[in-house]
Amino acid sequence: MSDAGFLLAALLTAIIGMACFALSIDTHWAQLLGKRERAIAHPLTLRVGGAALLAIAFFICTMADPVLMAVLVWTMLLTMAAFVVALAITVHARLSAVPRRDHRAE
Amino acid sequence: MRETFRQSMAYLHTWLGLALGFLLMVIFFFGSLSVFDREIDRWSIPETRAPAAPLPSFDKVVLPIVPSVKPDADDMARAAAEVIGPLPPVETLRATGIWVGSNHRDPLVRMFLEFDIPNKPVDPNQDHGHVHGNTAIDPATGQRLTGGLEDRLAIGTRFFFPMHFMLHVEWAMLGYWIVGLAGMTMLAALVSGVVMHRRIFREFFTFRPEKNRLRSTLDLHNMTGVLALPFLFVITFSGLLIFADFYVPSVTKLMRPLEKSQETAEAGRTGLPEDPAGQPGQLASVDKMMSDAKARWAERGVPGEVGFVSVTHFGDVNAYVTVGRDNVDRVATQEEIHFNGMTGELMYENPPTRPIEAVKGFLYGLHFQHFKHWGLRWLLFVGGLIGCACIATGFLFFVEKRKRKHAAAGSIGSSVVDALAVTSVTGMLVATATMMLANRVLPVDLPAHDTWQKSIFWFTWLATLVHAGLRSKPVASGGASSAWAEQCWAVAALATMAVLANWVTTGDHLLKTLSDGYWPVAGVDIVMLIAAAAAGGTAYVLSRRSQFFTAAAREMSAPAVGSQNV
Repeated sequence: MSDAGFLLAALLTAIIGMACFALSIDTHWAQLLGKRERAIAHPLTLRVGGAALLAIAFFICTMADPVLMAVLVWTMLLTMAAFVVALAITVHARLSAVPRRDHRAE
Repeated sequence: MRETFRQSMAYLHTWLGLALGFLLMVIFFFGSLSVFDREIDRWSIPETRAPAAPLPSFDKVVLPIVPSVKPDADDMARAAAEVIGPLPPVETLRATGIWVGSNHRDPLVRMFLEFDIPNKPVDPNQDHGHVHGNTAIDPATGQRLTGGLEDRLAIGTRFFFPMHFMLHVEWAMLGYWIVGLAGMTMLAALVSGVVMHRRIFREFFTFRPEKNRLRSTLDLHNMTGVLALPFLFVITFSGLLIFADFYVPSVTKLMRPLEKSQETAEAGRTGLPEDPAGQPGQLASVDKMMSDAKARWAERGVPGEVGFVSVTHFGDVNAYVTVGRDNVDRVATQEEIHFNGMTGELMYENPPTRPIEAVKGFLYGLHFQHFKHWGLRWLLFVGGLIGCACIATGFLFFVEKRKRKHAAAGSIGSSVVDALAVTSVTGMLVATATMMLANRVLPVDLPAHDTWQKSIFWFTWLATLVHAGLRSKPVASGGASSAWAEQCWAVAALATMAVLANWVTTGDHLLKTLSDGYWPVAGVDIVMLIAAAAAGGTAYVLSRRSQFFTAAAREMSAPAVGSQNV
């Protein structure tokens, strides 16, 4: 895989990892999945899984770059991944809020 | 006790942030632009739009140019004020130090010369004085840049970059001090911000634009601050570290004898002569040393283009040559091999650095960003802009939180802060875009071409302050200033015009630069178009909102007027 491919893979992994962290927070779980039960997705499980994914993302970064460079790339990718997840939650909240409001108006 | 500590941190965060946030905005924004300083240079001096080139032959190209470079007049004036007695005439001064360098992003070879002067310095702490001269070489022709190109303003490296670290306040080096103070403030703001944040993990991903303005502004301020915290902290800290010797001049100023003995010890350890011998000497082939250095790097399996060559004690038997690697593959800089200038023999190769030096090299390197990694470069650019967003939303929150209270008390505090925020956010963008446009539109043969561009920048910025001040009246009565929307429209228009002007004056439109793969110019154009679109979108939303509010206000006041008549 090319370096760009590795970085993209690292970013995607980091996004999924950050999404796990977000789902471990009750408010966001309710926002995204409604009243669905946390069957196996216990907050702690999600946090451990999220942390593992972020660690894997770092490992992928080291495949594209020397370790010290990868540290920088990884740190910045984590920030970007967190923004992507936050943005997705915000957009989701907006989209799911609009029809409900229409409903009430009717 | 805990609550009061948090409150005191909130107090510190608010008022320190307010006092120096305007400067931080400037430092972060121009720092972000400096990530692409060489690219902005290419855009602003179209004659130098060429692919990056490796360092040319030192013996055949660089050495013949050395005698033609004279000390800089400004630097002569500076030196004259610092030494006893009149300086010798410029023609008699000979170069005693040479530095030439280039990198993977730069099509020009930059050359700096040092000239020893015989005068004793006024300050006994300085042992000998120097004056400096500089020029740039076009590797394609092997000649000095011609046609006044040497004097043309390279906006990236000569204007935006110095703005980032000294704000162009040269008097008594005050600009450096102000930036240092702002950097310390940033660190304090980050720490106090974390302390005062109540739900740092629970609201990690939280942005609620549908909530009231105060809440959503705070969400955005917290989110940008927290998510980019590692970047913001490290970039601020490393920036301060770069100027640590200047801010805390203990070694260079107060412990002069200690520094002197340190220099001597260093010279003893490395074998590199500390002083010239005073006997003229002929330099051996530097090209041979460059190829020796490259062979050594190839042996170690690292990318081996020469980044710079310097000659110390040039023209003396004690001359030595330093060959530095263009560190494309690593963060830290400073990888050098030293050769004897007379014999060309290897004298000393920088050993693997000690841990403390390695940490310092890493922090320096991540701030100077000499590496070749376009993905990381863009990430750091975006990181800087997130810092700007964090600071800007801090101002918005300050104003939003207080404006009704101020309005009720008849205070103009929040309207003044709002006007300053407009100036330091959109006003700065307006001034920058105007300068870029002026760079393309002003005729090159205009006398003082560079001064014109700089003056246009400063006066435009001043004009945005006046404009923001005139429009901020509604804020004093709890409303919103229309300056935000108006200046956003101006940014959209000016940035688009700058891109168009680049097309008209050079023929380098985006389709051409993209199909040629000439990213330096294409990248600058694309960023300006994105900025224009974002500013236009913001302006549209703001204007619609204010129309909505005006209409609502009219509706509400209309029956009131009617009832009065009855």
